[in-house]
Amino acid sequence: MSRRRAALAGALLLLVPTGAHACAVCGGFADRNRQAFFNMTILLSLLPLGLIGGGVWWVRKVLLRHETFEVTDSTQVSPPHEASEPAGPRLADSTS
Amino acid sequence: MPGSARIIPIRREGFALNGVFGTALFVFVEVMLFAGFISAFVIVSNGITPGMWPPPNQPRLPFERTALNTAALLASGVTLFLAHRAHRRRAASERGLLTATLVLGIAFVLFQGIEWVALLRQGLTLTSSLLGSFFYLIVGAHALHAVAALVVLALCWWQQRRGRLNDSLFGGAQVFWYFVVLMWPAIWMLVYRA
Repeated sequence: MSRRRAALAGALLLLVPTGAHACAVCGGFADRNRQAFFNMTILLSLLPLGLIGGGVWWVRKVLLRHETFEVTDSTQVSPPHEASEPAGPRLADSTS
Repeated sequence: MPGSARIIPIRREGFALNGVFGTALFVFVEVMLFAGFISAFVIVSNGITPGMWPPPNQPRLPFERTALNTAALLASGVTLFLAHRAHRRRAASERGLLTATLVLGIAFVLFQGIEWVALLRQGLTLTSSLLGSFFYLIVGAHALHAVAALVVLALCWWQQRRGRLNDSLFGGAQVFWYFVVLMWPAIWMLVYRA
């Protein structure tokens, strides 16, 4: 029973969030201050997401640009590539 | 199977120059640092009683006079971009453009220094008011980054003169300088105009 009462009290408290001005800044009286706080919250929330998104987009773009394609014909076995090539084009094995 | 063909993607090692990638990570952190500074400044300046910001007994920040500085810094970003293009083409104009970038960057830092001396003489210090604290913190942090980026650019200039400028160093220096250039208009508009 006491648990139910506690849950009900908690739910009622959720309905009156403005009554609990826990943060001295966001509970400020001035509208300008409140608006500034709101704007900066949006900025600080979206900026890292935008930067991470931009970074992922850039990495993807660079990876796609570096990706090359080779068409091989299994009847014409090409000679092994130079050992100096970093990743080396791989010969397609269509028999397996 | 005769005639059958397969397309195999081949990935080469690495996707970015080490210098560029490392500097980009560093810049990410620094952008958040400046965002924190600027947001704190905006919230505090908007929380003061209307008419009391900037503080009445403190000098006004020279917004118009700093426009010249801003133009010099933006121009240095353009010359660096052109230097990058010249570097890719291996054109002879690269050295001149790099020199122009350095001169414009040094001019920006010097003008900032002169401005600071004038403001200090007028009584705006780190402890004189909230405006002074924020101004020297934000603009000082930017100046510190500008000086560090200028050192890297000077190294690029020196290496270019010796014919040893590599893409990784130059790319990293560019990312760093573009950060300094692009961060400044935000600071100028938000801090100086407040």
